[in-house]
Amino acid sequence: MAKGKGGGRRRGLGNRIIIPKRKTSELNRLDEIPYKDVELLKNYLTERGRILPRRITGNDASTQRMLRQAIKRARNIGLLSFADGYVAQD
Amino acid sequence: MLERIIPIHPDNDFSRTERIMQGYEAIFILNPETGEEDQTGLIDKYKTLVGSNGGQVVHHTTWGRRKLAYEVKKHDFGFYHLFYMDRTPDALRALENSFRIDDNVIKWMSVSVEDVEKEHADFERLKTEGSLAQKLSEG
Repeated sequence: MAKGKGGGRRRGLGNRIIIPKRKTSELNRLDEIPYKDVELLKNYLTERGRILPRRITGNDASTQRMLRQAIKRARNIGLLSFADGYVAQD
Repeated sequence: MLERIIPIHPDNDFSRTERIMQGYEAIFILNPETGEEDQTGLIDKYKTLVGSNGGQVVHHTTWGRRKLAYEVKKHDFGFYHLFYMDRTPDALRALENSFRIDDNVIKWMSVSVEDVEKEHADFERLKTEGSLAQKLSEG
């Protein structure tokens, strides 16, 4: 791009720094996340059963840690699949 | 002592000051082929085992026959049972050792809990009222 005499600085809207609105998650309000509530946990998994990142869900750090713990427990006891995430009851 | 405020349960008693019982939650899956009587027999056996090791099973709950998310020892289904126990490490150890030996128990896990009564009540609520997901989205 051609640089003008003014150092290439554009005037108007293009000059603004856009600060994205911070996402928040409803889970943040919970005091603890029950690992047995698979209907809740499935919302935070991909189709392949991976845990969604905070970037997408808007969980705060401590919530994400609790969520991680809950999902791991649920996987361990056969409530969630390691490979396929949520598996519906018949 | 634990006093935390959980906003999504407005019926929670915020002013309670009594001591809470710390303990364990033992969740185990029984072989789907075991009959009703055999299951109650096993439950009684484990309860007495915990009792004889100085522990106490405060609550016993079942989650019924559930489909497993993955195959466990060639089984697709299992009977879920939960023990809410007081915090007696020896009793838990004895229980875990017998789970390990018993072929009727296809999978088990024990978790330490801060408040036995609360955990039990939460689980009963989950069974009767369903997932928290809906309540959260409603506000």
